[in-house]
Amino acid sequence: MNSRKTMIALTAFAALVVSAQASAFDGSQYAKEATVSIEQARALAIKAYPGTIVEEELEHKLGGSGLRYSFDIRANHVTHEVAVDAKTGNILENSRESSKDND
Amino acid sequence: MIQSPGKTYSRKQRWLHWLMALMIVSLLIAIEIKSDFPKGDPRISQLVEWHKQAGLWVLFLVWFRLYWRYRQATPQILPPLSLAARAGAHAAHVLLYLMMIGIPVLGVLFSQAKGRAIDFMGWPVPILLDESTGLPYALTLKTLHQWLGNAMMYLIGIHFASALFHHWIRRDNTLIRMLGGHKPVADRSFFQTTIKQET
Ligand code: HEM
Ligand code: HEM
Repeated sequence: MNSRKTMIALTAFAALVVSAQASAFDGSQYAKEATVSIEQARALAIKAYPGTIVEEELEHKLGGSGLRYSFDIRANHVTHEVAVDAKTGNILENSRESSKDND
Repeated sequence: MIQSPGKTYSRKQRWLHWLMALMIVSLLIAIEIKSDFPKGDPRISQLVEWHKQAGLWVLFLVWFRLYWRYRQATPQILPPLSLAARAGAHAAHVLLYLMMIGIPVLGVLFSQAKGRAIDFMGWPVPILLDESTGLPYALTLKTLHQWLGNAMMYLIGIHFASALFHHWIRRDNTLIRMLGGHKPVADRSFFQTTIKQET
């Protein structure tokens, strides 16, 4: 390896890190399909279950328009799963999280 | 940098390198394939548990590696590398060590911050970040854990490719130093006659 190759490797790595960071939340690759933005969805979710968001993801799932933001919101030691339809803004789910998935 | 010529890494260093490589690769695979299962499938929780336990083993074992690494001279690469290549490799290795410490610590922090207790082989891990202070940071810490974990995947890919580059293209003893074994490597370069096994 010479210094040029080292530079290329380090630059490539830096580019990969930056591109990894550009996608800010899980499933943000589907953001183009959504009409409700993540900020709007967060506000709707917190209105449905006031607390702190500890997980957020945009995902395809049966129900509503088929594209939803799934949040885990925690308040007073209880976590709720709150799902906001990414096209209509409807609340699709608001229930106590089953801790089965261990994540 | 102190270097001793014509040797391999010590047996315990090689052992730990490959054991931890296996653990890190498997904990990354475990977390990547978990989304292939439907929500609530019991295998998800098993994969996540493997991810956490292996990650905590990495955090535990890396200190032994660092201790042996700095107590002992690094076996020299023959033919010698350019200064820039040495600096690049060194930077990558420092980064890997930092990631082996920082990423599992972040994993513990974000889990505890959102109120999930962590245990290591059945022993409760001390609360580093209590939910009552940590909750507002849980999501950021988790995102950081994921970013750095994903970055580490790429870095390991580069590390792996570099090892093969040294072995098959540059035809030096870099990989053999980490593999050990019994193969005579005298003919790998005109600089050296034999590489003596340390152990
Ligand atoms: C060397 C150690 C570790 C590495 C390299 C690592 C890396 C990663 C990576 C790459 C992801 C997935 C990111 C994604 O989906 O894009 C992840 C997720 C996760 N990690 Fe780790 N991790 C390590 C240790 C730990 C530890 C010690 C814990 C907890 C005690 C932990 C808990 C988690 C959890 C719960 C998730 C799943 C998050 C989710 O999808 O909801 N990790 N980790
Ligand atoms: C996947 C297959 C892997 C291969 C083929 C491989 C190969 C090698 C080789 C040949 C060396 C010696 C390089 C040198 O001293 O200049 C080395 C060192 C090292 N490897 Fe790996 N490795 C692998 C996976 C990993 C993984 C997963 C990690 C985890 C972070 C890792 C961390 C390190 C570190 C930190 C060093 C530096 C040792 C030192 O301090 O001198 N390796 N590896």
